[in-house]
Amino acid sequence: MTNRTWDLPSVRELVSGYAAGTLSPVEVVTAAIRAAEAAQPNLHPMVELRAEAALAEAAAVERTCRGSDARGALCGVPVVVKDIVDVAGLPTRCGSPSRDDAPTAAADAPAVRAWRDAGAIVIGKSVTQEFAAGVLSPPARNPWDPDRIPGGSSGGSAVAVAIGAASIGLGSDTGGSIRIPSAAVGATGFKPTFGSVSTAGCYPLSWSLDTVGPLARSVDDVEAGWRALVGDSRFVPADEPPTLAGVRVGLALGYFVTRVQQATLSAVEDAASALRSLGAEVVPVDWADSAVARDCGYLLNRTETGAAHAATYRNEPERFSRMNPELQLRVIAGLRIPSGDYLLAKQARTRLRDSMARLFADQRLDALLAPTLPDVAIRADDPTVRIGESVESAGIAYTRLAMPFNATGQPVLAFPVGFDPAGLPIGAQLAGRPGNEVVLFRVGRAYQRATDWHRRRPPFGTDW
Amino acid sequence: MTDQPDQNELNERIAEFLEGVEAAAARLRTLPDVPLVPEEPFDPSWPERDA
Repeated sequence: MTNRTWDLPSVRELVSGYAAGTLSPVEVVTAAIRAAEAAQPNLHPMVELRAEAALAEAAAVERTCRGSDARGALCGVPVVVKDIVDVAGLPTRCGSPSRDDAPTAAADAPAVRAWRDAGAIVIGKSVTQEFAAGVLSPPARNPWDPDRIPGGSSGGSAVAVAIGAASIGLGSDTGGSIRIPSAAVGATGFKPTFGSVSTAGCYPLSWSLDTVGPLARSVDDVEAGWRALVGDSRFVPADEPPTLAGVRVGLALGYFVTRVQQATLSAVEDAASALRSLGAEVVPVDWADSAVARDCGYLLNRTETGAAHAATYRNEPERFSRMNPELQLRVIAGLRIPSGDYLLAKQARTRLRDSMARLFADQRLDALLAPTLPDVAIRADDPTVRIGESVESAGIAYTRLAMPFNATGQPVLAFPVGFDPAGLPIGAQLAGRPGNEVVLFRVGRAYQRATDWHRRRPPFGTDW
Repeated sequence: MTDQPDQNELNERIAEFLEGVEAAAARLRTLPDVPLVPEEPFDPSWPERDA
């Protein structure tokens, strides 16, 4: 597995290949680490690799998994973990100079422990936007064009899976931070139902919204990662019906198609047509509370980000001064948000959740399809989104379509649905009912069987 | 230590930030039937009638 264009097999292929003896965990993990190392100078997906430990774990898997039926669902599968999540023995620096002296974590976060219990091998920590508060993820860059951002804040995990340095990356999503980089690099990502996956051991951005979930190259691999996170030891189903007969999908209009690039609108409409061809019933819907749901998420997010760093701001000024000035501003200003506004957002959230539930009930929906981003990945040296006369900061524009679903707390699957004329990936998101995540995986899997967007490999980071 | 913003610029940007917050809060106040007491913690599951 050297000196060729690298392509990591799927999770299903890895686990069955190890058991059959046709694939070697040591060779696969070696190649994944090499992919990460080769990409590091230009794409910077990783903060830290644990090559020696990962290879020792792969050797152990090689001894125990071959010919065994007792293997875990992620047996020998290489994964990376966003650097706001604790991995035992490594510091959790959160992408911040203010945590350069962070101690090594004494224990894995429960999400990491769940993956390890399923047999996953952590090859390292991936780049995060500082404290997960943003969408640019410096210094990571986009493997489709290294002059562009990978999205964020889980940008390093997105790049790592896109280039085959890991089968699954752990990310977090507070205002879109799994879905945004998934869209920007052509990966698949999943924001679980709020509260369904433990966020213990993850540095908080906004605890009322924070979720932890997987990014990967396909719905199959994302589902494998999600099942392990929620303690479901079953393998991803291989015998689903290929059609979507009986599934009803809403195509989100109004707010979700306003100030969105035409190439993105066309790709999402094409995705809706593909779902129709697969047997789904697709109906246009306009959720009247979309903009207010975004406002609700914004207020919760900004207030709690201030609170999360209040002690550092007040008690450790030198440490606080090491944070990015933009984040400092967000913390200082966040601490001045009137408590009445924060409480209003907390109160309104229940109303918005019920409003979304009524939309699904009234329209008899199983899922709601919408663009993930209003535009493709933007240039790193000009982090603004321009659509017509509109100019928005990346942080506002990129979360505009994602954050409403953080307010409602429902599960959302993000996946690639095309490319723009410049060859940059376009993503869509599919929101579902809390606790009924499997419908989203069924729809996404059927779509990916019928299309090849998720199989396309970026030109940078995969040829070494 | 990172570059520190000028105090005047900082104040301007804080004011701009808080204007955005107030605008968002004003839109939230237009929602009807907002419960008086928020759920703590928030439960994302949907009411039985809509599930």
